[in-house]
Amino acid sequence: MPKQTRSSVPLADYDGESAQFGSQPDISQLVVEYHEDLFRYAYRLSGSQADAEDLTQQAYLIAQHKLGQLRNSDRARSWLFTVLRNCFLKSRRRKTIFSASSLQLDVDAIPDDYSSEDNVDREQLQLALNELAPEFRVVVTMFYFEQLSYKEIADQLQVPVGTVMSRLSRAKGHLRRRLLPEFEVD
Amino acid sequence: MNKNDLQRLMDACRSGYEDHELPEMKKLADQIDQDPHLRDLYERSQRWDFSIGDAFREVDVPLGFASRLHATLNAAHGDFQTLKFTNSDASVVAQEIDKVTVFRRSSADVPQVISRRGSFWKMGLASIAALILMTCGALWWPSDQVLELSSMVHSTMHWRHLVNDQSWQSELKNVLLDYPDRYVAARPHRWQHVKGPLDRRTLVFDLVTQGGRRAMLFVARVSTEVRGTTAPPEVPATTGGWSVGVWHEKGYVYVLMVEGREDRYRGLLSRRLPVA
Repeated sequence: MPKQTRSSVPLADYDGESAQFGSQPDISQLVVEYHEDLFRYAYRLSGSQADAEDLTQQAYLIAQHKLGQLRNSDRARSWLFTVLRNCFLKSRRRKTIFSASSLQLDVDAIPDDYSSEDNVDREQLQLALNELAPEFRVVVTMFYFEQLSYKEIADQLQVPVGTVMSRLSRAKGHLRRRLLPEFEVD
Repeated sequence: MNKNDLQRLMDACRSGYEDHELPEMKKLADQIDQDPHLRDLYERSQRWDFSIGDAFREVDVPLGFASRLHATLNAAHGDFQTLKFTNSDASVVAQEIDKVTVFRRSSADVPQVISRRGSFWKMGLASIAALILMTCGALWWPSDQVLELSSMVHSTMHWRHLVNDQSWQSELKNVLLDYPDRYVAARPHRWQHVKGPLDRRTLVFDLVTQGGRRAMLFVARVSTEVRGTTAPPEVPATTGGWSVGVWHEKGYVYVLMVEGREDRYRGLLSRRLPVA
């Protein structure tokens, strides 16, 4: 599997390929360039391959319809993420899975040594994500996947900064407890 | 500042960024400078975030997903309309269809072949073969030269195994004549001929679906009377994870099948179906 870059790479930072986009990318180019990123993002949000495919496809169909709204091709990637995220939230608005109040903070639930990425089980990660309510899952996915700051997340979701910080901390605490079983009991 | 507040601030700091040096994080930065234990905790938290960030992106993308997206977007964009057949195309296709040898269940031809050979031994074998053929035909054909769609629905579930994934053709222009687009909303993106039970050149369309689920439409020409619905049934037959609907119209039998539940099947249909 191709390894992802650590940072959130804007379209303009791509060498070569971005030059083909010109001022207005067409939808085929956006598929070639971003379908893998979008699928992965959708998978982490939805928790299943079928739903991730549906979400990605739905996002591209909307993007195709509203491509004229994309005035700056440098923002194509984040624009597509936003479209997809809105599709997800719309589909899950009434399906609260996990109560936010049960997510406790856990300062000590961090192990001494987890420098290797092998310490994170990808399937366990998804199971833990699936237990989160959509609004928590979205925030934590924007943080880890898009590497947005809490202010950028608040801005994009149009919610207060404090709400984002709270959701982020609770969601991360939940992940720590689920992925580090020895720290389950605080 | 209590430890929960500190944790909240630490959790807001991204790995690989200097977020803790932002003005609004000054309290956290000061505490980290003063408290070696907290500094250690912060560094561990950053390493943890780094690992989780990598794990977030470690997702396999299904093979062929980009192609399916392209096909869906092309269909949605109206490329299908440009592929609509013209009258001249229709005549070409009609001629092509007429070349097809329709499967006939009469045994009349069999004795002729035998008589030319003039061999009693071969005649005996051929007679047995003819008898088997007639018996199979009688079993398969429930009434005299009348095809009952209701009795063949479940056998059509197996039609999908006739498809050869290496034989798809993407040029749709000359085959769209047979596509029942007033009933089926899903668009085809490739096709092939298969040797089906009703027609030796049954046309199969591979359809574009939401989420890339497998869906196919079989179009078989029949030369005999058919009894059954003349529009796609709203409630399909389901088995083995597939949903199937069968109908006929103007000498053709249509078999629409999709991998998944009934709602997947209904998602393929036009919303302007005639009232049954």
